Amino acid sequence: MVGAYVDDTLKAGTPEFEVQAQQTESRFEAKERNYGDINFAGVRVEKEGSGYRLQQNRFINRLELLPMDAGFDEFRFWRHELAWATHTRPDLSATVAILAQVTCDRLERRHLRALNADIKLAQRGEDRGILQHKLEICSLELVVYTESSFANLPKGATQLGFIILLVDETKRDNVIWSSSYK
Amino acid sequence: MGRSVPIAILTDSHSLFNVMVKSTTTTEKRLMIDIEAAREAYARGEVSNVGWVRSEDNLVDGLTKIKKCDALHELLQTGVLSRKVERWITRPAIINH
Repeated sequence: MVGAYVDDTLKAGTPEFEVQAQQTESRFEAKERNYGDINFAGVRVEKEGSGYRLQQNRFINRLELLPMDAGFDEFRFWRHELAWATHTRPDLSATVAILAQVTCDRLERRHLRALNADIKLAQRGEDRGILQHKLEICSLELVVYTESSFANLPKGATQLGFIILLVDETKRDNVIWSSSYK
Repeated sequence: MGRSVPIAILTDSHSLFNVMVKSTTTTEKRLMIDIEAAREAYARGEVSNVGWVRSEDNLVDGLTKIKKCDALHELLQTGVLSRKVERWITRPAIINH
C-alpha cells in the first residue's frame, strides 16, 4: 500500500517491498516505523482482520448542522467540510457534488436540509468508513458500476456516477475510486 | 503485479445493456460512437464482462441523486460485494479445431 498526499508519503508492504523501497527511503528523513494503527492525511487507518479500515470519525463528529436561516457562506463552508469526509464516505459524494452546483442566488432551505441529512447520516454511530480486505491476488477482477440520472439536475443536466472495485473470487473488495459528477 | 486484471462493467440501464448485446440499436446519434467504442472494447477483450443489475443492487445509484444507497453503504461497511448480478453478456464459445 502506498499513500501520497502533497509532501506526505505512506508505504506499507511485505519484506520484499521494504527491500525495494530502502534505497528511496535513505534519501529522505523518514519518521519512526509504526506497525499499528496510524493517521495519514486526516484519515485514520486501523487494522481490522486481514485488512484495514479507513475512517474519519473524529473529523465527521465535529461537523455541525446548519440552522434553517444559514447564509450562503455558512452553507458553502460546511459543504466543503462534508466534501473532505467523502475520502472515507463516498456514499456522501452525490450530495456534495449536487450541492456544489448551488449558487448564492439559488440557495433554498431544501439545500440546507439535504446537507444536514447527510451530516446526520455520516455521524451515525455504526458507520465506520471503508473496510479494505486483503485480497487473493490470483483471482482479482476490476469491477466498475456506473449510473446516470438523466436530466435530474436544473436545466436538464445529468448527474453521473461510478465506482471502481478490485474484487477477488470470495467477493471481498477494495474500493479503488468513486466519483459523482455533472 | 505483472499480470492483467479482467474488467467487468455493471449497469442498471436495461436499454444500455440491450444495446451492448446488440439485441437493440440506438437511434441516439450522440451515443452511437460511445456505444460502438464500448462494444469494440468488449469484443477485443479489454472489457471481460458486462452485466445488468437491478437499481436497488446498483452500488452507485446513490452517487447520482441525493438519497441513501443501502447497497453502497453495505459494501463500505463489510468490504464484501454481495449484490447479485441479474444478467451477464455471454461470449460465444470458441471452438478449437
